[in-house]
Amino acid sequence: MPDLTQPDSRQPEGAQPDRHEPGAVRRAVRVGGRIAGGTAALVLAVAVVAGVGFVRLPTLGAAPAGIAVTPEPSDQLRVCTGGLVRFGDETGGNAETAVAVSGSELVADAIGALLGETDLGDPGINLDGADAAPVVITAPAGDGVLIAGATAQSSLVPGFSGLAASPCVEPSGSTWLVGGSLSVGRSTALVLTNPSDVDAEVTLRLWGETGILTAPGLSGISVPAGAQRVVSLAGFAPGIASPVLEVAARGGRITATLQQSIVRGLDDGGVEVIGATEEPNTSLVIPGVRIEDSLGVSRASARADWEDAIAAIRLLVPGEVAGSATVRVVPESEPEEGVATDTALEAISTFVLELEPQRVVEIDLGAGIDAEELSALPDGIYTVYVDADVPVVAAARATTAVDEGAPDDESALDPVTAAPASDFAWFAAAPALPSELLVAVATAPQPVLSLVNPTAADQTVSVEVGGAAVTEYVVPAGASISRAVTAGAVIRLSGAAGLQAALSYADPGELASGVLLGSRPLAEPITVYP
Amino acid sequence: MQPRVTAILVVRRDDRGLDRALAALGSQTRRLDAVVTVDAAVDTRMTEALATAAPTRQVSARGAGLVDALAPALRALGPTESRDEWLWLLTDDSVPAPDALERLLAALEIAPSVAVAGPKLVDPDDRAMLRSFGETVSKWGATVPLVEDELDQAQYDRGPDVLAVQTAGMLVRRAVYAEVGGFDPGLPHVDAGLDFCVRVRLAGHRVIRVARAHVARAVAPEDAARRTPASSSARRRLARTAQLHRRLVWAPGWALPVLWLALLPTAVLRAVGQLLAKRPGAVFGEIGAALRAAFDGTVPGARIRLRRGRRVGWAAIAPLRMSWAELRERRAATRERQREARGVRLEIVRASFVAGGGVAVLVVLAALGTAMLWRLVGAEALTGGALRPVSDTVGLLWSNVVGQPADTILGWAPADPFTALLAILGSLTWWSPSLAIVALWFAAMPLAALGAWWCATRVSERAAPPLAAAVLWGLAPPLLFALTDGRPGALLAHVLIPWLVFAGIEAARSWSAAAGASLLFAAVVASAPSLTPALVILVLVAAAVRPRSAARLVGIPVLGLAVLAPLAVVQIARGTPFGIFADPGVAAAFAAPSGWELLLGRPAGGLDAWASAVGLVGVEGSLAALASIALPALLLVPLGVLALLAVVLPGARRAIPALVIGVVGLATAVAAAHLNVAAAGAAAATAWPGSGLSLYWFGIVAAAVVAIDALRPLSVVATSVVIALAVLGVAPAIVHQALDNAPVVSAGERTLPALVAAEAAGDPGLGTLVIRAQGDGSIAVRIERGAGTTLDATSTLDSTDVAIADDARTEEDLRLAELAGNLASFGGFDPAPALEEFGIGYVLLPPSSGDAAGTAQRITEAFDANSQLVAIGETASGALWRTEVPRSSTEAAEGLGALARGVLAGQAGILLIAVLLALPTGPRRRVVSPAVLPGEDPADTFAEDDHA
Repeated sequence: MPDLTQPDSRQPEGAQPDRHEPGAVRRAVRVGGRIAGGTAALVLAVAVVAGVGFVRLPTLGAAPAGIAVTPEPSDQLRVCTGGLVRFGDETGGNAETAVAVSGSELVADAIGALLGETDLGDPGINLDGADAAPVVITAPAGDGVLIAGATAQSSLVPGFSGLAASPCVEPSGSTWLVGGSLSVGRSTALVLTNPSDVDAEVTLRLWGETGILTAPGLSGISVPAGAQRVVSLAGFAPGIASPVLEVAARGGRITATLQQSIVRGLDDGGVEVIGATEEPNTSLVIPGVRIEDSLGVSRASARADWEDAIAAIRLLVPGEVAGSATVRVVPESEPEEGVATDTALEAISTFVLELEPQRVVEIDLGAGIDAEELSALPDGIYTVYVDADVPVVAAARATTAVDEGAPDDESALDPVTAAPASDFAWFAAAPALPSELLVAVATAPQPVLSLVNPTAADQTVSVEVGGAAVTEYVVPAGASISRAVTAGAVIRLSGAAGLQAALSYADPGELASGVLLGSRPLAEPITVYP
Repeated sequence: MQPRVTAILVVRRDDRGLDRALAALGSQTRRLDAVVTVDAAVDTRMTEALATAAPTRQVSARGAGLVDALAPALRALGPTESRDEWLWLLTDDSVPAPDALERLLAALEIAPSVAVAGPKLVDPDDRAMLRSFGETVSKWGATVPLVEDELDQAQYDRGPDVLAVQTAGMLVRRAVYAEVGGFDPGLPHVDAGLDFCVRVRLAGHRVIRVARAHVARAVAPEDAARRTPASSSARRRLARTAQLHRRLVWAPGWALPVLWLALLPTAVLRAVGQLLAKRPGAVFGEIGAALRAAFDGTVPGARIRLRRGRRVGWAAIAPLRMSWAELRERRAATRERQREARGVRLEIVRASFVAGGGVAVLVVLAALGTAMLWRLVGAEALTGGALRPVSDTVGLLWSNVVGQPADTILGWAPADPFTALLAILGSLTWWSPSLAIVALWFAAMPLAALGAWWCATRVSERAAPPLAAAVLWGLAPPLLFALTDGRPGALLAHVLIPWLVFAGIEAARSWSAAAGASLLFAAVVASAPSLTPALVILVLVAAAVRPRSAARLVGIPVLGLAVLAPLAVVQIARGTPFGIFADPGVAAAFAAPSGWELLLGRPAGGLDAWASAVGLVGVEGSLAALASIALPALLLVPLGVLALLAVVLPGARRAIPALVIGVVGLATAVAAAHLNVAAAGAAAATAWPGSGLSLYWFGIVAAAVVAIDALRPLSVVATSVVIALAVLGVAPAIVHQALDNAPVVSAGERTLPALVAAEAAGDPGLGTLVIRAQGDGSIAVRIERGAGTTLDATSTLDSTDVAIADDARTEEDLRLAELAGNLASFGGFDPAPALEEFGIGYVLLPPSSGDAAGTAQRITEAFDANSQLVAIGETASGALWRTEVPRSSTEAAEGLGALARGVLAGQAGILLIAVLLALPTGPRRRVVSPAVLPGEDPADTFAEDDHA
């Protein structure tokens, strides 16, 4: 109300001049009053404008307060893929129907709660024997409840011979799968399992070496609640050698695995159940890449159709921007010592890849090897590090083949001669582990646990088997260790926070792998404004 | 036989010239046979003074009534000795002329049937001024003074027979006095003489007035015992009390129950009449008089006294009563006299609305507004910003006006007063109430301009200044923002503010205008509660500046404050006092404006249309931001200069209050922009500063109009420049709005998907859980019932329920939050019991953008994975899920409690009073165009009249 403070100066009429004053004086008073009033008004106006324009005032009154709601945890649930499947029966008929060809052996346990096991029966798959059905293992929600399971199958079925092992995995809305092939002799099936009580609608994004693929049927794949569905990738992308898949589910959460088998001519080249790899990231770690019988592989590689036997890494930039990736293949420190000798082992093979967006690249893991010293990666366990400037997905593949000795003559290359027993495995990029987790070791030969410590500090991991024997391993910062574990055991790992790990299994002519997965963190508290 | 006259002088106060009265008694040409002084005073000094006056007798009396005073005097006189014994009743304020008694007696001598004679009662200072000279009653028994405050021109000197005379100076035959039982104790002063004389008449005697006898009387009968004269309302009450008493006494026995029962209803009706007659002070008197009459213990005694003394029938005195025709004539004459006495100007000088260009401006603005809102043409309802469609039926609209039972301090959640305005608006288009809001949107600019034009005619009587006011107000930035941002409250406030000021100016003179202003005040504060402090301050300042009109001015905010009071009580008791200022409608957050933006009249921050305009010529980034402030500021400079110039030009007395309004409005806007009052999801919403800016803009425009009026030779130029620049200043905003999508969009009839609305038609309690994803990953949740919450069902009590500690939340809130939080997350929560408890049939996730889209995606996944929710798909209102739980029908809402009903009744009563007072009943003032006053300098004549 500044204008009221000086009403007299503003109201010349109010100033009553003496009646005896001459008119000129009165006029002067009036004009003077107006000038004074105008000046005062101008000053006040400038003050108000400047005050409002420049002065910053605090805002009063409280901001809305929400209610923090911690969602109730759900039951722990893992889906263990069932037996290997093939499309059609032995006669080649019923090509649309998936038929189980082998059963799988399940190892599962839970800590802190009772384990529940349920077979997922599904009329969509012709199950040959109960143990070929996918199994859902559950444990009620609760503090400290851990659950783990793994399946393995060593198949001798023609066309499917080899070792496949995979961990039981938690369903999710989005799964990245790197692996498989659709070139001649290779078949890859996508196994979708929906353990939830809501139908899921699955949408696939499929990339190949030529870019992203479009095909009818990639979206709207329905997976009914509590059922498994097997989809042949060949229908979408015939001939693609290096597929990469993103499986997105709406509705119920699902698990997705790829099942690849190789038949080279008449020889079985092995089977593999390919689990999920890490989501696109600029930094990936593929632990426990196990190279066995490198000599045998090297010798067999001379045969026709053995090009994909070489250890390789498959990479994809799913984004729209091109980038480059550095791949380092680092061998394991001496496993016999029990303690890592050196924390900074030299990479045996390092190479830089320029990656085009949306195009899958597959390259020999030994591409960075000094060719004068070595021709290929020697036997051993390696950790593959991928560092890219754009988010990438990656997985590595290795093949084993029984060494038949030095080829004394040309007979080794004789196509009539049967190829050596052989198998392959896909090693996925592993997620960071929680501190506590349970690991089920599949009943497969020579299981080895590989632990990678990408953090900057040494980590001590306690390994507890069967609730009694506790062994402590130190994983040096930036290094990795591998330890043999007992097949069929359920191991409890403590102090593994931030590590990445995988289990690998090998025997002559058999190779399989699976990454270690912790429980997905519980749903975070959510703020609700009512 | 010589009559014997005893003067009875009743003394109640010593300061009314008792000496003069005593002296006058002593100097009578006809000597008094006896003087009895009745000491009815409380003051002992009086007793001494009376003793020295040496009366024949002196008695003291208790009580202020005539009966109380006379009884001891008569006792002191002893028994009546002869028929010719007379009593001359005088009071301390009466000064009889020396020959008064002589002339009275002279009149009596020739008329032996006369029992009562009354003198001319004249003004003590001006003896030619008649105060009273006989009284009568109308057919209905109302007292009619035959003469009242008239110059004595001997016009009443003929016809001595009257029905009654007043007590002062009355000469009464003592025997008759005793015969009729004396004065009525139920009539201590007013109508005492009338009632007494009527009984004298009924006893078969005559009552005459004596033209040549003069008695000067200082105060009216009702003021006899008062220190200060009674106010007009008190006089009305006393007169009415006396009339009702007489009615009950005079009426035949069989009519008594009817009359008694009719007392209060009649009083209420008469109170309404008093309001219509713009006499609000008389309302309580009517009720009080009726109550008093209803429990009047003196009635039975008075009836007995009347029956005992009666000798002739009522028909005998009928000719002395006043006929209707005569009464009407007298009343018309009285009104005319009063009007002349008030000296009301019956002419308004202003420009012609049609010829002065007002209509043209309105048409242009209507066209401009339609062009700007062309997207909304044909819309049945609007949504966006604070807007929602309103209820489908007028009945529902009005039912939302009262609020709902709730667990508050009043046991009731009062509805926002704005819902009453919505109900009124919606009733205008009863077939589709939402249409009224659409119509308001299109009509806002011309309506605002119309109000400004009328308001400006009170400042200037020429054509140009109101035109400038109309354009500047119709294109005011706060109005454009309210239109584009969907702020119905601010919009209505902007439209109503000129009318409020217009009525406020008139309120200083007229009760009708004051009541109208109070209605407008209530409408404005209901639309924009943030204006309440500013408007109350302005009214109080106005009342302080004009103390003579203070009663009328101070009454202006009463209705508005009464309307806001229940909400305020609930808000304060709840601990959210700022919530009082929350804007009605849906809480919608907006970008906080900077100080500079507020100065430019922009209530919300962010880049203005000017930034886009300069973007067309390649200016971008911070330069564009600067341009969007600087360019309109430059265009507004002439307006600001004009407004300041008004201070030094003639008419400063009007410009200064205008600028005060502007400063108060600006302060309100700044305060509103810094006051978090409500929650829009996770975001805090301040009060909408646009309402304060409307006030600010009003002040500037009003001052500028005063300047335009004063700059007579330049006024057309000034008007043109200001109008042109103002149009230029808002042109980008209008073009931008016309080209771009604004928050306000056309809505269907429903706020929820049609599927839900269809099901809700059969199940009004059907709950839809609306979960809104927020940018910070949180969710805002509310349950909508039936076909969706309409604008009239929103409550600021809900939206201002912020910052309450978790333990202070209601159990229901916590349960709802638990349900929503779990539904929006993956987890093992079983929502079925809670969904059933809340009766939720659908879950809606409205579309979201920006950061909230990520949250919405996660929520969508969680909903999809929930077996209790079945995805229905995308609708215009968002993604919809149906729940798979059986719904328990929600119980019907209970009625409001007694307290709520009482408060509502009180509000309704105040509203009724305001409406009755506001109804124009007086004569209309004639509008005179300035053109028909040749040679008169209208500005000068007008300047004498201070309107501000």
